[in-house]
Amino acid sequence: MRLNFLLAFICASLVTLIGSSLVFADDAPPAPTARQVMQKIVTDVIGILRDPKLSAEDKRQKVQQIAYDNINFQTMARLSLGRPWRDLTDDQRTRYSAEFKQHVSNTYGHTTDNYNNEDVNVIGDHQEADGDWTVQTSIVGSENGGPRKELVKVDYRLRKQDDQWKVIDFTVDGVSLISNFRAQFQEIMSDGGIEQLIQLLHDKNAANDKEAGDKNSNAK
Amino acid sequence: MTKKPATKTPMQNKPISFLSRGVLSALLFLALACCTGCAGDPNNPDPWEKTNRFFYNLNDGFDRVALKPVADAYVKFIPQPIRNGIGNGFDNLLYFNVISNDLLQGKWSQSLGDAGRMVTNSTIGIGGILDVATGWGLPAHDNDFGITLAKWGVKPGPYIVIPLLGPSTLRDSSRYVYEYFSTPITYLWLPYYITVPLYSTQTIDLRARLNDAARFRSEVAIDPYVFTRNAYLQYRDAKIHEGKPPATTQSIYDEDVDAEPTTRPAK
Repeated sequence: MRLNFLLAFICASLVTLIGSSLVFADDAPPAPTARQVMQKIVTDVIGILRDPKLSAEDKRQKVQQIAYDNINFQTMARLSLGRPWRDLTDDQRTRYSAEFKQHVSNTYGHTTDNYNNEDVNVIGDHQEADGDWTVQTSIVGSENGGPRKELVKVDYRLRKQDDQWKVIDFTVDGVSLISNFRAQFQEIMSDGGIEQLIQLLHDKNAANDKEAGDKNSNAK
Repeated sequence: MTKKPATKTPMQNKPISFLSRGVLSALLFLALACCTGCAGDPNNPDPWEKTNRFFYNLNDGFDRVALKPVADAYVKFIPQPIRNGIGNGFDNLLYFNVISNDLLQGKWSQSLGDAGRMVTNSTIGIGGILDVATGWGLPAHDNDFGITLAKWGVKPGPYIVIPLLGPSTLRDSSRYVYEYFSTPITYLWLPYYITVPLYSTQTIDLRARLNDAARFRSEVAIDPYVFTRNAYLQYRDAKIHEGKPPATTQSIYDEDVDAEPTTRPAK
């Protein structure tokens, strides 16, 4: 009789345990908000840039990986072109997007080289009318050894795709990168069409590769 | 109210040499006289692109052969603390321009803070050479007569590239004239052997401070002329609306083609 009671108790606890673990698994970690995603990116990137054990090349690669994981280059490329995107062939879209991605990545690489112990503080966020989310950050550092102060404000616009927040635009002191690219691309397109734009992006990337190559051979 | 210290970005256009400003006022009035009436397409911010590109290339060439090499030498041979002192000194000298525009825009508390900043730095900061005010919670602000006019409802008018001074709009170009007349030093009527070296140093110092911005532009821009124009117009717009640009700028995110088929149907 006693044993039966004990067994029943054990069974009951087991059922409760399994049941509760199932419940936990069900609503386990809530999807992070855009602000949380951005905060994590910022913390990770600053951690890499401040790591004394990493070489400049390591840092560039690690930051680039974070950029690849968190930026929606496809949307960025499309929005930077605007309406003309509709009229491109698949081949043109692929070539344009690849050169565009390379160009934006190069720019990112340069910023890691110029890091000078700045802090990046997430200072606010708000939802946009179309469901995108803007996360505001403030870059604080010292200019030429002077007192630390805000150097620049950078706003990140994030869009949810496949349940993941990804960055689709950077706004530096009020200047949106997508808007700026679109102005440039529009003018180039009206001049020589998509092929000229792809060519110009390609030339820019080639010049950057050459420069990086020179830098490496100088270092050796 | 958000207190936003002055920042150095590619878009920033700091006051440039007084010397050119005198010449400039004359040029501007000439330009205004020629161009009033020709409104053009209201949706095109740059109806005078051809002329602007000419002056853009001229400025760029002058920068490459003269200004940048001198500024590089300045950075190389003058130690940083001295350069900082020189930069602070010029900022302080021109700061009455900021205070008076705070007042013209009815920003009373900011004008008080800015006046306190100028007094502090002019006295304890030894004539503005040391920026003690920032550490005391009186950060530098950026303000000018172009912003004042915008707040009074004046439209920007066409984009213009001013010889030696760079990107502006018809409305914003008034800031240089205003700066010239709102700076007390103007009324000392100093002899040329003081003013020429003084304003040359100011220009070189300013150029040296823009080195990072110039490098950023050369890395990012595919068409540097359009990059500069768009960055200038967006930057000024954000400044005038104090970080809250009008909803019209949002349209770039709406022109999304997600609704369209991703693969283009064969023709």
